[in-house]
Amino acid sequence: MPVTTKLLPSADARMAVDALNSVLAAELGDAPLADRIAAGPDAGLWSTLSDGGWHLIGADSRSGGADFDLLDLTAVAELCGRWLICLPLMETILVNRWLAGRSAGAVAAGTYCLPADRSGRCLAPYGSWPGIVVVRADRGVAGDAASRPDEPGGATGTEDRFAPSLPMLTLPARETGWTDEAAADATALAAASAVGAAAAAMSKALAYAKQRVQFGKPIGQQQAIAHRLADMYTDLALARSAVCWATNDADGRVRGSAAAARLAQTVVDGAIQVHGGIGFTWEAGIHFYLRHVTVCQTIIRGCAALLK
Amino acid sequence: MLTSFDEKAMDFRHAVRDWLATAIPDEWRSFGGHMQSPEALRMRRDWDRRLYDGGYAGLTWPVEYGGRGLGVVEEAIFYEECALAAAPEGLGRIGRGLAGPIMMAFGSEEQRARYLQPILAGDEIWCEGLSEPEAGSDLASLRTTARPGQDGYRVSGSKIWTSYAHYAQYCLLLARTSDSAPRHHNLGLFIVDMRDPGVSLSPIRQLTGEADFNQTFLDDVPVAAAEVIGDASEGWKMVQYGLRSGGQGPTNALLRYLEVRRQLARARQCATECMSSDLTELEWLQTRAEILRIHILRVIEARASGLPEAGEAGIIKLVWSELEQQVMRFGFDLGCPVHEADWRFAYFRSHSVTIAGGTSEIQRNIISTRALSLPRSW
Repeated sequence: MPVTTKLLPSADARMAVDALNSVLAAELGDAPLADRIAAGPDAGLWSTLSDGGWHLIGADSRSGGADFDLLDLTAVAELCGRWLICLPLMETILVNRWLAGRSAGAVAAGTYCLPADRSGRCLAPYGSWPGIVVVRADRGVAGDAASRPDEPGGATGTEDRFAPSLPMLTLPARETGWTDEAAADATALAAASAVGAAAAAMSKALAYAKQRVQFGKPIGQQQAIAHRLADMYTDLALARSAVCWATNDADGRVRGSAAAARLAQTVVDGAIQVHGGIGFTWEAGIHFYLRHVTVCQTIIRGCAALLK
Repeated sequence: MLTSFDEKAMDFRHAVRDWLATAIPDEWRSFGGHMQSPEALRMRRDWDRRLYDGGYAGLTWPVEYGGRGLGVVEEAIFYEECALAAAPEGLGRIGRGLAGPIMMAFGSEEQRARYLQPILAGDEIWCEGLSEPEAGSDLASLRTTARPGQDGYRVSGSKIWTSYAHYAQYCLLLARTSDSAPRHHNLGLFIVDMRDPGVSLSPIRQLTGEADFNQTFLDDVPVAAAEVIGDASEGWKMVQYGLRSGGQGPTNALLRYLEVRRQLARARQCATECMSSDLTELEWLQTRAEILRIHILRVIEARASGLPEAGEAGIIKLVWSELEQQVMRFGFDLGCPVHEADWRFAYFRSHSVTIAGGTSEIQRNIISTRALSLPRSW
C-alpha cells in the first residue's frame, strides 16, 4: 500500500494551468461556442501552443517537459475540456509522455488508438489531424504514421464527428500495444477532460440562472433551480475527486474514471435543464459539452477493457 | 488505513495506534450494552480522562491552552484510528469541539482560566443550547430570551436536541438579548449552569424508540455578567465561528465514511451470501463511498496546505448523509431475512442524518448562496 496518496496537483501544475488558461482565454476569448466550432480548428492557437512547448508538458524535464505526474496532467486535461479547444493537445501531451527518453523523440501532433471494440472498430481521437502520428504505448515508437485517410495506403475508415471537440477516426483492426500504465494515463485524462466540459456547462448554467428573469426575478432565485445547481456543483466536486482516485490506485483507474464521467454527464444534463428551451438549441451550444463527455466515455470504456 | 499523508503523519498514526492498543479497556472491548447505560457512561467518562492523560484531548487546541497545536491532518488520523480500534466515544465532544474553541477566540481571560482545563481533562461536560422547537433550520429566529437584570441576565425559554444534557454541568446557550436589534445582532452567548433549579429536562423519544436527545426548559435561570461570552449582541457570529472551526467537518465525515463502508460490507454479505441479489446498485454505492473518501482527504489536504480548494468542503455533509441514507435503504430493501432486524434499525435510524446538523435542503441553500453566489429566495 502506498505511503503517500497524492491528492492535489503540485504548485507547478497549478501555475501551468493558470498560464495555459491565459493563453486560451487570449486566443479563444468569449466567442460564442457554436460559432467557434463551426469555424473549425484554430490553427493559430495550435501554433501558439506548439511554439510554447505545451505539447511536451507531460514529458520529463530532459525531454522538454515539466516532470508532471498523472494527477498534475489531469488538471491540464480539465482545463482543455473546459475550453473545448478542438485541438489534439491532450492526445499529443499523452503520447509525448510515452515517447519521452525514447530514441524516436517527441512528435508535433500525436494520438493513440483504442483496442477494437465489440463492433471491431479501432478508434483514434483526432486520427485524421494533418500530420498526426499514432503512437503505440508499449514500444513508444513513432511508427504507423501512414494512418490518415488522405495518405496513400492510409486508413480507409470514417471519422465520427459526433463531438467536434473529440473527433474519432476508425482505423483498420490492429495490434494497439497498450500497457496498463498507458491505459491508466489515457482513462484518467479522458475523465478529467469530461469533468472540464461539465465545469464549463455548469458555469454557463449558473450565469444563465442569474441573468434569466421569469416571474419577475432571476430563475436562480427559485429554490427548485438553486437546489438543482447545488446538486450539480456537488456532483462536479465529486467528479474531481473521482479523477483524483483514478490517478491513485488500480481500483480507481476503472471505477474512478467511469464514475467521474458519469457524474460529469449528470452535470451537463442539469445544465441543459437549467437553460430551459434555449438549452436544447444548437446555437446555445451546451450540447457540445454533452457530446464531449459522451465521447470521453467511449475512451474510458476502451481503456477499461484493457485494464480488466 | 484510509488516510495516508506524509512520513510525519505516518509516525503520528503509529503513535496513536500504539497508544490505543493499551488505552482501550478490556471491559469496553467486551461490552455489548447500550451506550446510554450507566456502565457505558462510566466507561465513556473514563475515556475522556484517558484522552487527557494520553495527551490526545486537545489535539488541535493551541499549546498555550493545554492543547497539542496540531492540524487537521493529525485530527483526522486520530479519529480514524479511534474508529478503526472501536474506541469509546467520550462525553466531552461539545466542550472540546465547540465551547472551548469559542472561548479561546472570544471569551474573557477569566472564562478561559476557569473552563478550558476542565473541558480538556474531561472533568466538566458541556452541552449546546442552540435549536428550539420553533427555531430549527431558521436558528436565528430563536425565542429563548436573556433579560438584563442585576449583575447579569435571567434566561427563559426552551431548547431542543440537547445531546449530553443529562450529564452536562454547563450549557453553551444562544439566547435573544434584544427585540429591536437587527437579525444576527440580537443574540448573546451564555454559559448556563445545568444544575440551576430553573433548568429541567425532558427526554425525546426518537422514531427508533431510543432517547438520545432532550428538550431543555429554562425558567428564569440566572447567568452572571461574567458568564456572558464576548459581546452580548454577537452570539450568532461566535456560534458560526465555533461550528466552522471546531465542528470537525471533514473529520466527522471520515467517521461517517467508515460507518458507510462497514454497512456496505454487510450489505454485500447479505446480497451474496443470504440472498443472490443484483450487485449493480451496490457497486455504484461502493464507488460513491470511495469517491467520498478521496474527497474528504482532498479537503483535509487542501486545508492543511492553505489552498482555496478547501471550499469544496461545503458539500461534504450533504454527500455523506445522503449516501449513508441510501446505503441503509438499499440494505433494508435487500429483504435479507437473516439480518432483517439490523437493517430495520439502521434504515429507520438513517432518517436522522439528512436532518440533524442542518437538513439537506439547508445544505443546498448554503451551497447555492455561498459557493454559487445565487440570490437568496428566503
